[in-house]
Amino acid sequence: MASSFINFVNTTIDLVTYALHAPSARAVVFGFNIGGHLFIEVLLLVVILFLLSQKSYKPPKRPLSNKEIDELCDEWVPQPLIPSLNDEMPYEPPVLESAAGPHTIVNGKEVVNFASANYLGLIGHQKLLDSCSSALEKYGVGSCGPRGFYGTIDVHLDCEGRISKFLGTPDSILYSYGLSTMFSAIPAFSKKGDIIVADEGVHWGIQNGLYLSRSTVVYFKHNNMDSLRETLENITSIYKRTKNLRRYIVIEALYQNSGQIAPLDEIIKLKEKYCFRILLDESNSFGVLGSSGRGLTEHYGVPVCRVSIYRVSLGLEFVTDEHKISGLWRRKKEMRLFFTGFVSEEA
Amino acid sequence: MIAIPYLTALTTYFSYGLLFAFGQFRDFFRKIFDWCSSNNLQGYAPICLGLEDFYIRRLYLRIQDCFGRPISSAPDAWFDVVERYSNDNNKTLKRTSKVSRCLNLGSYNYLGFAAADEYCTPRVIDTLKKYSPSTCSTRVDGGTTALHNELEECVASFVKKPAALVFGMGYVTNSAILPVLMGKGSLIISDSLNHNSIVNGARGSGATIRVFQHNVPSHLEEVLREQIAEGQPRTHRPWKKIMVIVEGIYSMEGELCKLPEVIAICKKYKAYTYLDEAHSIGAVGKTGRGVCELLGVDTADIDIMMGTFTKSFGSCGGYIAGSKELIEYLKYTCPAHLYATSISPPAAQQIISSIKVILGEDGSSRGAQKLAKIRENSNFFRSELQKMGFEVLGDNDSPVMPIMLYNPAKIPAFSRECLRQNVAVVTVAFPATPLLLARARICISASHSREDLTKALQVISSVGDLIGIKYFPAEPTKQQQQDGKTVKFE
Repeated sequence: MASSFINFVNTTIDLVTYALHAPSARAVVFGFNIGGHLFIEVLLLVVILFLLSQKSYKPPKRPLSNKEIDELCDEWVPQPLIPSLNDEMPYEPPVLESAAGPHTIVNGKEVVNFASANYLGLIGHQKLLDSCSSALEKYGVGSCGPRGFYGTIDVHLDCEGRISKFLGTPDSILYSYGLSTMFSAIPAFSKKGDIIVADEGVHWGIQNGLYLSRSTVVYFKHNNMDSLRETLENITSIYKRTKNLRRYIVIEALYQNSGQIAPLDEIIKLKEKYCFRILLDESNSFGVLGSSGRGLTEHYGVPVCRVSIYRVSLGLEFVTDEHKISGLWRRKKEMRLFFTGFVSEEA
Repeated sequence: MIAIPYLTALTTYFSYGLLFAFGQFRDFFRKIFDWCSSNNLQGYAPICLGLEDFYIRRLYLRIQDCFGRPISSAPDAWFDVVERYSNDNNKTLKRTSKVSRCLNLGSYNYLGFAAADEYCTPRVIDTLKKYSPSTCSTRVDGGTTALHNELEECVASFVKKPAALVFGMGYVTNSAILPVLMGKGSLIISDSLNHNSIVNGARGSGATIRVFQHNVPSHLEEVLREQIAEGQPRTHRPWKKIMVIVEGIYSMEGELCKLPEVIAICKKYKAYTYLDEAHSIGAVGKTGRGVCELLGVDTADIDIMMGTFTKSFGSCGGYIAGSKELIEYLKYTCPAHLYATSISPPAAQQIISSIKVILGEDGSSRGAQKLAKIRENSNFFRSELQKMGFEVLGDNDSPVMPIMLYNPAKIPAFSRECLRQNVAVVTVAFPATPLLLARARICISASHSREDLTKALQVISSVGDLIGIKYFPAEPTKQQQQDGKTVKFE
């Protein structure tokens, strides 16, 4: 056993020495005697090339067979479309049997109405009803098309002109529904990567708009100016170097959820200090605050041009320094134009 | 699937390339001029940025006059289009007091309820006087009137579902309902050409979104199988629920949904179905009940039926119809129900009255006549257009028929020429359609008479000859075109 091993070693050594002394082993390249290296190196190269030419090992892929997919599909049980209803869910709101004026009829009984945002008491105003009736007869109820495709009626444009004149903004645009105004407007101005600082207490329409814009949204404490200052300070220091970053502050003038009024004068100071634009939602304050009903800016005596985008009254929205935007005109003063809100359709 | 001729695809790309190059060239000079004039908003990033802004300034503004044309009458079969002029190369348009009486091929006035109606309008005005124009409140607070409840019952019985819920705007209906029903861990499978409101709603819901090829049920099945087998991404947990969203009539293609096939697949794989009937409700079907009636689908098989009142009913708002429990749940949770002003009472009355007319409950046969008329009008107009050699998309019975234009220069040419000859049409281009597939869209109404349609066909034919959009001039060449080199688009 041992001798055969020694024999084997000897023959190998012989072979190697033979290879080293093979005719090529005495080759001289550039004055160097390269000995048997060439042979070994060529051998190694061949081995390397051989290994490279082999496919690398991959665990065998076994995609699911049709039968397996069928089984999975059969086994899959979806959750019910809606969770089961509990007792508190069914809620029957009061059903009004007359106009939602200061006094209204519920279940055949006359009650005082504290549920409607009929701030100026324009419901049932005779002049308003007359102009609405004549508008209905002339234009019908719906515009049967979006604004871009023959859905713009001359009264829409007149109304937009009047609104911007009333507010002192360069232009305005009407949307047909209050809720949709903010959630169409925010994504139009703020895109991915932009920054929005918003009050915690903003209503659902704004929250949804913030989500859809895919911008970076930072909330500050509800109506808390120290918190706002801190947030703005933080953001400014983080994004110091970033150019072309649009920054907005989104606030409501009169918060739908808490009834508080935003301290616009202080916000304007902060905004100018940190170079932000303001999107102001005046759903509830337009026509209510200020001596002539022009909303929060009048209330605080701030020039309108300081606010960038303005949205007013149950969906009526505006831009001041730069662009378009919009809203729906419900229950306001220019009665003739009243119907435009809902004559206008779909955004 | 639209097959665009090879040469046309090439020229369209070339046109856009040229527009882009010229736009950039002008922007370059504008930058130099802006350098000199000081900017008064130091420290603020411009409110409009990037390619989108470029597209609006350099491409859209050039042909701005073709869009948003104001009208000064009801959008009936004929309407008054206000003339506009521009002194600054179309940057701003000014209204004049002049109007031109045009044939209306642009409004979604399928059944002709847009104008004053002998049955509806007096009732709407009575309602206005009784309930005044707005409730100034949300549905849950003080915004529910007896009329709202009546409307919901009326809509539910019209679409043959146990219950319904109405909202003040069609767009909001889609974008507010989906986040309530779907959430993280659920899957939304949406047709690739679904309307923007559905896309927004789906995005807002936080659910995973997968898309299947437009109107290809076999691809829907493929996606469903793959998704059910794989489960949620990364964790591979099974999906909580899957919803398939389709539209009844696709507004930019005029195509009817392949509903029976889609329903069969959804049933097989236990996915919920959501049908958006924005364009089809009222417009198709023997009694105007939409695609379900037209294609013979039992409405019980569809979990959620959505539609709008903007189109056929000539009003505004949207509805969701479904099981009693579903509606009960939505009333408890849906933000559009809880936070948004309720639908205006006169608008609600318009819907109730128009449904009554459609069903013949007003004591006349006007509804049935209107439905027969729109079907007849649509099929007549479509077949005539096809005979003339236009490339018309969509299916029979659908009142929406897009005519392919392709080249960007043909968009304003077609629109302006038609308007000059008193026919108002809608042209649609990027981003509402893919870049290459610009089109004009014709919407037929029951209020069009045969003479109106003949006139429209004459005008469209002559304009078509002028700008060269008869891509299939005669029957035999149509075959050749398709056999020849074409670029396929899905």
